[in-house]
Amino acid sequence: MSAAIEEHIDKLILDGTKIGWHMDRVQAWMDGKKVAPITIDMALTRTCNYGCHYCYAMLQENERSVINKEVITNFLDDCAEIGVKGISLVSDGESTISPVFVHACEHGKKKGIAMACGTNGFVLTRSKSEQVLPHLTYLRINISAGERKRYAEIMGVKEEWFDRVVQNIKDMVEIKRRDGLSCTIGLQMVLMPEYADQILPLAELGKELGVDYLVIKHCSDNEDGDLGVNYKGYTKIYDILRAAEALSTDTYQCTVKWSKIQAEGTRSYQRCYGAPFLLQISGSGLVAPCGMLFNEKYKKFHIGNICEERFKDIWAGDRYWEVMNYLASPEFNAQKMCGSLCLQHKVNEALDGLVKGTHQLNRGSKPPAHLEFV
Amino acid sequence: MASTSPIDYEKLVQTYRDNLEVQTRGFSPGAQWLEMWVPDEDVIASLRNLVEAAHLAKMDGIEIRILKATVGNDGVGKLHHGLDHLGELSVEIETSHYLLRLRQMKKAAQFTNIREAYRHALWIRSGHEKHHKLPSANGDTKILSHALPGGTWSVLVKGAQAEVVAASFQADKAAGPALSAAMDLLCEIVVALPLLEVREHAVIRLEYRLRDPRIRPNVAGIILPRNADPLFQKAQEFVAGIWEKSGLATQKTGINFFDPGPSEKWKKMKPAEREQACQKVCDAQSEHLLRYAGGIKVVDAHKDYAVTIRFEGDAPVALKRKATLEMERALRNQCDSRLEVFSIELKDESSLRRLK
Repeated sequence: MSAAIEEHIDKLILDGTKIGWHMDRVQAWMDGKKVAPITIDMALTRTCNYGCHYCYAMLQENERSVINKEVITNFLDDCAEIGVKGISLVSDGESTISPVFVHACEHGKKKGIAMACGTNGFVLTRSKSEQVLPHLTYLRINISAGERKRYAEIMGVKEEWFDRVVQNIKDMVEIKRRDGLSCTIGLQMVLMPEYADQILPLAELGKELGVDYLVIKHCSDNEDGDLGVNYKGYTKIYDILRAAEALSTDTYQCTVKWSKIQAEGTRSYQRCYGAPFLLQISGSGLVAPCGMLFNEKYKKFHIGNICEERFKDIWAGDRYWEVMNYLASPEFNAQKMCGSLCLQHKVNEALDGLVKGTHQLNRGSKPPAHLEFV
Repeated sequence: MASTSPIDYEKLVQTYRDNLEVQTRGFSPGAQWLEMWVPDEDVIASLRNLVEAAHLAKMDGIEIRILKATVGNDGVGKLHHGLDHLGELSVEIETSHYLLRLRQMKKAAQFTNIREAYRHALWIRSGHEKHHKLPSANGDTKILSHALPGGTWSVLVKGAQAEVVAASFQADKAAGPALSAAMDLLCEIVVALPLLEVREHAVIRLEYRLRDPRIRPNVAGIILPRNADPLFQKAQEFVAGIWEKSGLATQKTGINFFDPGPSEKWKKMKPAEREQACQKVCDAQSEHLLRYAGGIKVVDAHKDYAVTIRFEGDAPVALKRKATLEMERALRNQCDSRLEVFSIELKDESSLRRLK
């Protein structure tokens, strides 16, 4: 492997956690202080214009409210005030179709928060990209196929939409290069074992489009296995995944989230310590420790709603810490209660090892990119 | 020295106030032992001050008669909540008053160096420790012991997983009553657990079992044994010592998947019986949690680890959220300790997003 690729991988941690770079906050947490989330993963709406077959958001339905301009402005102001470092507009809805999307990116950046977005990229036309890219730390396009027919099948849309998205990505890359923007542009493939035929075409496409990376990740499922993810099926496609990784170059990083794929949906820990550091908010405004707990079914974990109450008050309130403490107590067992491989998984692993005294938090010699996204 | 007849709380406060207005020097609210006492606007804080004054005067018990109106709503609960950790409290309900009897204040005072949320459970257990001695090891079992200043903790384990058969704690002179009581409870907690589970979660369980949920913890954020009270760090040292001696530390133990699961009794019940048992608990809790009766319905309990409930009535959503967690605690206490409570699932009605 060339030094340049090592450098690139060192900079972009796509299969790990950066919690070790936030020791001040970890120490405060261990001392029992109220710590603000380092990162918040949220959506601006529950709605989506796609119909992806693997979509976990179908399992996350909860009572809807609308995140309007006033709500998101107050929310971002509160985040800045309490010390949130990064907000990724990902979560359970397609944020780019919200009327407040551009404002959210602009205002968050203005308040000193690193902003990022995960999107299907369909409505991110050239003009929209011109508006938002300067404000984003990263922009990640969710694209689970490299061929238009399969794209349409897997992502539940018309074949032409593939062409539109590919053009949008080309424009993004061009704008980034033209203006020398620091925004990282990447692709993400949510991989079900049955999409294996699309791994290499997509890896090739990413290289051709000139994006910074492609990350290939497992598909999460709930504790009842409603999406029908066959975790054992991943082992049969390891060779294809390795071949995709081999397409990496000095400027293009193709990474498989091996740690999660090889875990086959299991967890090594029972307590969830990661949520106070990496909080999730639904596109309905619902504040819950984790996206897997957004559905009304998990009302016992629901904390509040930013459409009804200021986030800084929710964060400082008893209910927030009651729920967080429940997750850290023997009342809760993540191995039994949770779906597979949640967003907080890597943070949980690291903190669980720290609490048990079996692991120290690792950090490399150089700070990685996107530290605000833990 | 003991208080002979019940103190009339309102009269005492009135005397204090009167003295405050007329006396310049040599101020005292009355009896000599009350010299340390200062009333508080908060009645519970005021009573605590009174008990502290009595304790400083080396009294072991005190009786106080106080108007129900002074204590306010949920008087008995409020009194227990505020004073339980100060001694053995009984509250007698009279026509217009409560008669409080607090005993064993000296014993309770031995725990003042422990954070408040843990005192009550510790002093209740203190003096009643049961786990002093282990049965002898035989061919299938072995004894692991670890000594530290304060005592020796021993466990009798069996099998490759080193499942704990029994545990004991022998306190030495350096052990205070809190450590003895805590370690005794730890002995109880670890029985039937694999040693890996003991190592990973026994002290978390201990902290949780000892914590009084009615008392606001000293920790504003996440409660961990290391920040809850130094007592738990000591307990963790005993656990770590045993783990080291087990030899498992150097072996590849794999992932700890231990979970006790629902009890056999609960599993054997038919779904309808489980639903009935859960509904009874819900009915008993509704008034308290939602402020009206019949507001929590059990939808199903066909899975032996889960109960699905539905809220009826117009309680605010925030109250329902809190009630769900409270309901789970009640059901775990009264039906099965591993029950998970769920609300009715909401389905995505999107015409685009499709389930398989």
